Amino acid sequence: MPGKLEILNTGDGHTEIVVDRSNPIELERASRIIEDMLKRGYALFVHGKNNVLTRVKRFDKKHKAYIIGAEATVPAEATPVGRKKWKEAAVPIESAKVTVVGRSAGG
Amino acid sequence: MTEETLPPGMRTPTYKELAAKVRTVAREREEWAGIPTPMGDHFPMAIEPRHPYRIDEINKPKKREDGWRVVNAWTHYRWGFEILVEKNEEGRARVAFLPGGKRVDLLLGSLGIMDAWLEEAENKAQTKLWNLIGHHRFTQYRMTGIFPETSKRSGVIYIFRRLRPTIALKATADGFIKILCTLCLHPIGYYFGAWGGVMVPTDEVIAHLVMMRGSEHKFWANANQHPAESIHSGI
Repeated sequence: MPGKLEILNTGDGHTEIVVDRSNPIELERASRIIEDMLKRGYALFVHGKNNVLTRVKRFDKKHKAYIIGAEATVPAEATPVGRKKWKEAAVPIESAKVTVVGRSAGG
Repeated sequence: MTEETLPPGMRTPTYKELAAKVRTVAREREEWAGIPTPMGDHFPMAIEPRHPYRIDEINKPKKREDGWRVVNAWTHYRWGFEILVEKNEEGRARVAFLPGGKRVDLLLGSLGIMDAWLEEAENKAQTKLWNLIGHHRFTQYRMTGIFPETSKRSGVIYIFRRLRPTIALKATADGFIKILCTLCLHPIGYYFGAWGGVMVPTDEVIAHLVMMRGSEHKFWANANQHPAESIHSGI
């Protein structure tokens, strides 16, 4: 199943971007969008089993993967990053479902 | 010929047309979270500080013509109204009492900003919420506008509400439930004088829910915490 980005949006409800590994142009576009959103301070949440969500810490452009803090809620497709096992985990963008929330204006 | 009968390019656009146009512009300019729809002088907007379309001249509430400005405000818990301290340009201060009318203002204000939202966006958001919380709790939400969820991390019980801040509750040692506060958070922006934000109501509920599930401490840090007695708590 391809990856999916669902960006909560003021106009559309949410914008959906499908990330498919077989389409390198779409993959490149998605990684540019993800980088841009993280730079702007958006919060990205990777969906795990039973809709358990984990916030994305940063994006690994080289491997096209989200880097998340490894907790008990790591999605099945994640792999450990670095020597310290499960301190951080990488989730490839083409297999992750992600919900994105823009920066908060308070209330 | 009245203005309503003129073709779209020849007359002032309706709010719905404006919202649709703003949506198209946002897509073209790669504003992933969209551009808020301005709703005129009646409902100035508060937009998050780093948003490129934050224009203070449009967004900030206009100065009052009588020269007075509010310098402090609090809620009288027993009488249930707000007490305001106002100052004028000469430095003179006065106290004003705002009875429960503010609650009605906020309620009616939410009707006033309704045109900024598109119905199809709300339908889409409700489908997403259904996927996130399942059929039973979605039915609760559809019927009553609220649904509960308990945090596995902190044990705090959250009551998510449409067009109102989320209520945070905690069970006490003696078996009672205590309201910790209400959490008000609007992604991108909100309209002054209304309960709603620039996103459709259910998208705001989704934002609260995903932030609570994925980053609870950030949810508390980013939200405004209103005491239950405050008018702004929506209780």
